[in-house]
Amino acid sequence: MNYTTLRDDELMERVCARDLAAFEHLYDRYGDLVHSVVMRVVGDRYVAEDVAQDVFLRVWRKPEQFDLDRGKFTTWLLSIARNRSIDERRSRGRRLRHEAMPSPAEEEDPLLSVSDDTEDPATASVVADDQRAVRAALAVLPPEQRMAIQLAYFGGMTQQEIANQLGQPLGTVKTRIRLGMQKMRGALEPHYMVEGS
Amino acid sequence: MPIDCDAARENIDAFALGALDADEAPALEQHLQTCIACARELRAARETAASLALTAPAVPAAAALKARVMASAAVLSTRPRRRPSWNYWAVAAAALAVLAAGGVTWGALMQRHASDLSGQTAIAQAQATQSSQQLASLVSWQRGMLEVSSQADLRTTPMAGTVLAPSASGQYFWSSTKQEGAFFATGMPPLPAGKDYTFWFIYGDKWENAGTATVTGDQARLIVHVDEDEEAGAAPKGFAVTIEPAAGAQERSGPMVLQSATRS
Repeated sequence: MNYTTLRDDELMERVCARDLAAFEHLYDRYGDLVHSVVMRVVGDRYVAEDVAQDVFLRVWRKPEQFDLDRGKFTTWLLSIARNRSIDERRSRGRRLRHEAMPSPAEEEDPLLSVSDDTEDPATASVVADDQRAVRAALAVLPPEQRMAIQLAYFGGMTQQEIANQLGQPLGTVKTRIRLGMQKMRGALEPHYMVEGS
Repeated sequence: MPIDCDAARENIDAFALGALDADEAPALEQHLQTCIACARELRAARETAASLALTAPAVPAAAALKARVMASAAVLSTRPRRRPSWNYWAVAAAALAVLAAGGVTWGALMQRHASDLSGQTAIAQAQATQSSQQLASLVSWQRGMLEVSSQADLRTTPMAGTVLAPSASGQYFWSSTKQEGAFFATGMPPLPAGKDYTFWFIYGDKWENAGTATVTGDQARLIVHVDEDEEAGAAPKGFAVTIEPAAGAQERSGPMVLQSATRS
């Protein structure tokens, strides 16, 4: 069996049948990507490894929870990684390193580095196109919209918490998030239409 | 209060990001149950939100992580799924409550516990199912446990099994005055060949090896020296048990099976 030619959903079918080799191939494809996402949220190497391990073991233990009709495998996997990371971050609260908490100044760094040079080599062949498209879509947003969206996604903050942190009215934050997300969706639609065709 | 589509779409993107404040979510969730168009909108918003993960700066995982993940998956594949028929610590807590209600002191409880352990030791000796080394270890652990538990500054930290050891639970008893601690756990998963359970002190990012536990069946126990962090002048922030090579580990590399319930 040549697993490298199988799509993600085909590998997941085999994972449902307890095929450890298929699971290993999924790890090889997305291990670095999941670790990157978790590290971005929790900011601690040891914690990130534990969380990333939990994410993959959840895939292994409950593969039937993946439903292709509801979205792509990467959407499911990265949602687990993000949500599990946010849970860990909340449970640890202030013990996490301060630099893990996105601040208005820090938010600029990853966004300004929205370029191919931060691309993860290990996942390049799998999600490189998506990565480029998403980073480009995010990069063209006004900075205040990017910041609000990233504080929500990577910081796990509610709109009210973001408003408090930025010292902006709640209504302003709501507008920034809504407009920013709509622009991103508009920018990404052509990419995914081409990909899906 | 019910909301219409216009009001729902004001909040769908925030909802997809998990950023909608709790007081606004119920109305949106109620609307989504009956509005197919808004539910479709939410799905698209969720795809967009999930794609943000791709903007995280690349931080490649350590090679050891793959080994841990695959080893853990292999363990989960072979270990039968079971729930404990009883929980040692729930029983212990209930017993403690009864004894406390009856005016029995912690010291008396521990004397009784020691008596029980001695009884177990005698049975074990009679049945000759334990090696003399294991028995010596058990007696040594009992002695250390009694010494620690008799200290005025006795502290206890419950430890919970991770996803790899959902049936495991334990306690770590320690005294800064005595500079000793006693760890005991039950419901531990079988160890792979050439591996041991290592007990760790956690000081923020720094993990210190506190010793290798003695394993009997699904139980693990250890008497450890309480290593106060002299530089920080503080006690460990937490405790954990991982599976490490039997030869010993200076740095944690294996999967975690137990962790202190409160690591603040």
